[in-house]
Amino acid sequence: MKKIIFSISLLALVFFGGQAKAQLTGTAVLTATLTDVITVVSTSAPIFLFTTADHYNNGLTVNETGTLIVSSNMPFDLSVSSATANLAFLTNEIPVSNFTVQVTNAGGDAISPVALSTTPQQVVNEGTAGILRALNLTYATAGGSAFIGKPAGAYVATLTYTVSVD
Amino acid sequence: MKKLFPILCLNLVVLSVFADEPKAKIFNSKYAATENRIGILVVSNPTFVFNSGEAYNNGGSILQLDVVTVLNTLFRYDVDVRTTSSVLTHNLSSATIPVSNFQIRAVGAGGVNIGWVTLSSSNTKLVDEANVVVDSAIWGLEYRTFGGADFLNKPAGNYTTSIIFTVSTD
Repeated sequence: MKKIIFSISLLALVFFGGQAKAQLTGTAVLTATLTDVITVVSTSAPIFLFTTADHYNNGLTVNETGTLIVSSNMPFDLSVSSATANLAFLTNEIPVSNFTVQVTNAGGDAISPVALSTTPQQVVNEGTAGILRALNLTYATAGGSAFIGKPAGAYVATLTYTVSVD
Repeated sequence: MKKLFPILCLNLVVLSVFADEPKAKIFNSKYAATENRIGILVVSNPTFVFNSGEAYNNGGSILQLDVVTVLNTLFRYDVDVRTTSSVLTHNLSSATIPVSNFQIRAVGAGGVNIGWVTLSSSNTKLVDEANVVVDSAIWGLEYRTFGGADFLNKPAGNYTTSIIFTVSTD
């Protein structure tokens, strides 16, 4: 009987010995390095065409849909400034302060239309972070005396948009 | 003597089952477990750098060839993967990124094809029934992320977590 038990034990050792659970571990460190990505690109320029008396009297509005492309991995601010105090045609000038601009889909705090100036004017405050966000701009002028008595022609000023994060 | 005969026969049956395996494998397996001869070593750490709109929008991938060494499994083996946390943690703040934004797959490990595995803090099978390793086997890893909203509104810096690879034999 002892021999039988011994044989069974030996069997168990051989059989289960081959199924011994063995495991070990290795490690690696996963890193994501985030850097601030902040860019702004303008893909179009607003053109106001004064072709009727109503335009001279009451002004007009130009909507630039999705023409300002902003990328920011963080909530962002956006400001605009004019390179000059006036739009110029030869020696003739129209003050840029006759024009306003508003960004309508940036998220963040609502900001009313701002008059253009050589001093940066904030048009977005804490806009929603995102990559390649296409912002809608609404430019407007009320017309009036600043446009009267000026020779026909293309009056131009350069606008600069600056995006920043807090 | 007659009573013992069936037992001896049974022993012979057991031995014949393993006859196609080298004896050294069978009888050394216990030593492999007790002496920690079985093992896995990972020698490289993946770092994803988000420095462009493309990276934030679409993510990227990292292929690391020959960075995993598996030792002396003596049987077909599995590898599980998990992270020590469900998030990557910023080095300077409490900001986090879920590890579920990252995937991993074994490259050249053999065994049953599993493909991409989403990282989590729970063990997930990365390699299934890979071939026996008598000495060592070396294979690679590939990581990827698709970027997206979980990477936005996070302060710049390094976000890290540890990945644990566990090798086991059945």
